[in-house]
Amino acid sequence: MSEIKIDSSVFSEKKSSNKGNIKLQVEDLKAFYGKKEVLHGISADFVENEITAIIGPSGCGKSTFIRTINRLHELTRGAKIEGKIVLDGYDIYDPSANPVLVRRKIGMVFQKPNPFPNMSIYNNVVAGLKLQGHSNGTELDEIVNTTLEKVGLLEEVEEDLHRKKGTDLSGGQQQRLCIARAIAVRPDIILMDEPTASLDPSSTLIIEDLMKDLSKDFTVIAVTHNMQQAARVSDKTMFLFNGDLIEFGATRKLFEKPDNHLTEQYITGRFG
Amino acid sequence: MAERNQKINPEFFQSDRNLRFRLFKDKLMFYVTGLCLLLILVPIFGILFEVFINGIIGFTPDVFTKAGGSPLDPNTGLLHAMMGTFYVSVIASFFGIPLGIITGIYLEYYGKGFFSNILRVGIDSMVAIPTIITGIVVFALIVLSMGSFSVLAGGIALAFIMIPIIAKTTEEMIRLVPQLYDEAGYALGLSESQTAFSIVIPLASRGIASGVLLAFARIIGETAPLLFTAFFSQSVPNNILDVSATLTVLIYQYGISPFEAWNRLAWVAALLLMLMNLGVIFITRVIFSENGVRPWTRIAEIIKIAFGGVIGEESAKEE
Amino acid sequence: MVFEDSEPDLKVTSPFAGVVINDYIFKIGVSLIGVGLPLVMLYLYLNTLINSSMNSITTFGIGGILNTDWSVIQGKFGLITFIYGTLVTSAIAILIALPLSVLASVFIYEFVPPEFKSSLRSIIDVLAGIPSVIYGLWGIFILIPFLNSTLYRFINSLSGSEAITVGYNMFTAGLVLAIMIIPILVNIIMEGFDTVPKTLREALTGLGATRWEVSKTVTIGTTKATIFTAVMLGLGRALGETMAVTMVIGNSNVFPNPFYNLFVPGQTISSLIANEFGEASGLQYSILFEAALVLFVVTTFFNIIGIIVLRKLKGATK
Repeated sequence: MSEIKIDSSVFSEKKSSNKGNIKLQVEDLKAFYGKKEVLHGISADFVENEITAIIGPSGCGKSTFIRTINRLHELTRGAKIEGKIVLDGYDIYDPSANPVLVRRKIGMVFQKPNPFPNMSIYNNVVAGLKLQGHSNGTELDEIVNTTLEKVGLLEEVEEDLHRKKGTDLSGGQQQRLCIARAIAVRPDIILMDEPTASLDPSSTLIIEDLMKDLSKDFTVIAVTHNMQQAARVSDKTMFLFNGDLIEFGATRKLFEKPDNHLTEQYITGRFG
Repeated sequence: MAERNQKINPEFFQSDRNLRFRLFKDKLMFYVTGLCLLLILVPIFGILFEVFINGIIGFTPDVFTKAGGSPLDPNTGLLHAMMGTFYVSVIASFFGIPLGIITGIYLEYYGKGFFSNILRVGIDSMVAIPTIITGIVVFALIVLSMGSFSVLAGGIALAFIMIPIIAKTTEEMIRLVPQLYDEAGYALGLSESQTAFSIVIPLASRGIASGVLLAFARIIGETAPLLFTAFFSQSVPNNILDVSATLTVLIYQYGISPFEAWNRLAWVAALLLMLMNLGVIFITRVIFSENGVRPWTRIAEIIKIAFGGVIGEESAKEE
Repeated sequence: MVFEDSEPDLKVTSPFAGVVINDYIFKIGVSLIGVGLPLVMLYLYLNTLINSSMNSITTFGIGGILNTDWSVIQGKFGLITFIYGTLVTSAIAILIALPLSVLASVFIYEFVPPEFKSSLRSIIDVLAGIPSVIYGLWGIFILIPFLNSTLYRFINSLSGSEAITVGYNMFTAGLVLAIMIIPILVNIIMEGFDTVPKTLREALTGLGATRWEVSKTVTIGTTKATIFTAVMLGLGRALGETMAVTMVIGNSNVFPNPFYNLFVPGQTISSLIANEFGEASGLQYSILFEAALVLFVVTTFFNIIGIIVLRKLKGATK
């Protein structure tokens, strides 16, 4: 992928046929902060166009795990990883791999909505594209329109695209704007770190619907602190505990008939 | 699988032209910004270095024991200027410290409403007044009416500079004491003044003291306000109504003079001045560092006010 | 507590009254000084500046000072040369100091390891306190000889003439001012950088931005107002600086010809006062106060802009 396709139809055309392909493989991943090992050899395969929810008690390594996937983890001082993360057959930690390109393929949405306060709504959406050198106004307009449409924000902000800053929107709108910003560069995978943690219930529902919708075009991996949310939206669920992968499987199965007693204890609310 | 992981997809990992340029720019900017840091550090450390070297080269024990004199006389020193600096800074502190602190307390406790904001703008603009203006205003006020230059006039000029700085820093530092201590005082049945004097101000005392010390460091380095107040002479002042040299004015006068002996003494004076001035700042920083017992002393903030004339900042009182 | 001794003398019977009187005395005492002192000081400043310059204001009006002729003997007191010198030296200072400070701050923020970062920042903070007269001394004995044998010689050899005859000139003065205001600029800019939320940086990094792009767009991009404030306040400091300028600017009361030749001796308002006030009397004495008044207005103007922006900024972030 050397260029992002500027094609408004991309969102719906893409690959329902690909369902079932393994998109991302994590092999024996260990993550460290200094000498402290916070992930102890995690292996998991993520299937294309599925939503995987990552659950687990606070401090279990959920956030660290998804931050290793787009190589944000290594920006923290003293942080490093061992193991492999393979996207479409290519190790993203290969010495020849460039983190900038990796992040272009793996987008991220953060816990708190964080639109750039110095940019208009429009410029927030195209921030990533502009960095990559896209300057064609009509193409960018097109992308802004389809992307905002996709996250259901277009009607609400159409009048204010250039007039308002991203930070002028409400919390739920800001988060949808951040999702738009992430998908505008057409990544393969979207990581979400507790995307609804700071939102009110109605905004949460909108985002959850959006997540389901996004999985038609993207592979979604979302950390959540909310087990109902995991049950509602995800195809697969991964339970992490103290840096270990305890159980990973179809959501329905994991919630109804967990293999591991720790998982059972956690989902029934006996700890965490 | 293992084999699959090894292969490198050129399309995926190799950069397109745009990216190669961006990464080049990224690398380039690392060196450019590093060079900028170097460019700002070299002159600053150059100044420190030159002052130390030249100050030590010119140093003789006479510096501390002899007053000034003819540039051809080898046995002259800096005693007169040191005494002058001592006098003016003591006089300035005598007026400036208590008045500045009280003004600061007023601003924090009663400085609410429109009128006080006007007052605050007035104090802000006094912090930023060019000090040469202070010098000639005090000349017109004191020197003209008393009929002669004097260290008293010099001290008052410096007090004019000190008061707004101390008032600002005192206000800021009291404000940094969390509200809950005020409330704790009131809850114990203490009055406003009791709470202020027995709880809040003692808690802010480190911050206030840092403000005072840094304001002191600022005024001992001032030259312009002394040019036409304490003026200059070659003998040790006998009392506060005497005209006198000070270290800073002496650096100026000796520095621009054509005599090598005086140039040499200017460097020695610069070393002494810098040791005092940076010494006070450094000690303030060490003793009252932000990691100390009271986390709400902000030295960096005070340095900005004292040396940058940086004003108008108001930190919100912590809840 | 200081006031508690007075309680019995007042023969207060109510158990609550003593407390009230303590507060009353406290409030009155503190307010008298707190309100009175700044007002008196402000009055003294303004009254003295205006009164002392009245003589020249009434003699020359506006036109009499808005020219470049300065001759004490002929009684000509045009201030344009000095206003020009003041603005030009400060502009040079900002043009040099601003990019250096911003880029150096980026380097400190991005690349200096945390264990050195805070000590580096404290050192820069402490160095903000070097007295300006020492910058002047350094300018005379180190910087000017250095410039004469490098930059100025280079420019002379380029132009094939002795275009720059003395190291004591307006450019040198601007350069010394730049070196002097850099620590303060770095201090303010770094503090602005500190307030940039980490998550914004991560967001742009997550979109595939390089480190420099994150610095440019997020770190610098979101602190533009702080940087603007730093410029205003740095300008305020540079405009009013006396010693560092007086010692290296060459102290010439002649307007530079051509006006864009900055490598000739000049004079700022402050250096004019420092040089001429000692022997001034009559109209000259008065015109120097008028010049000071002009300087006061100019610096206050820049400072107030700085304050307003800063206030707005603080309000916006709350």
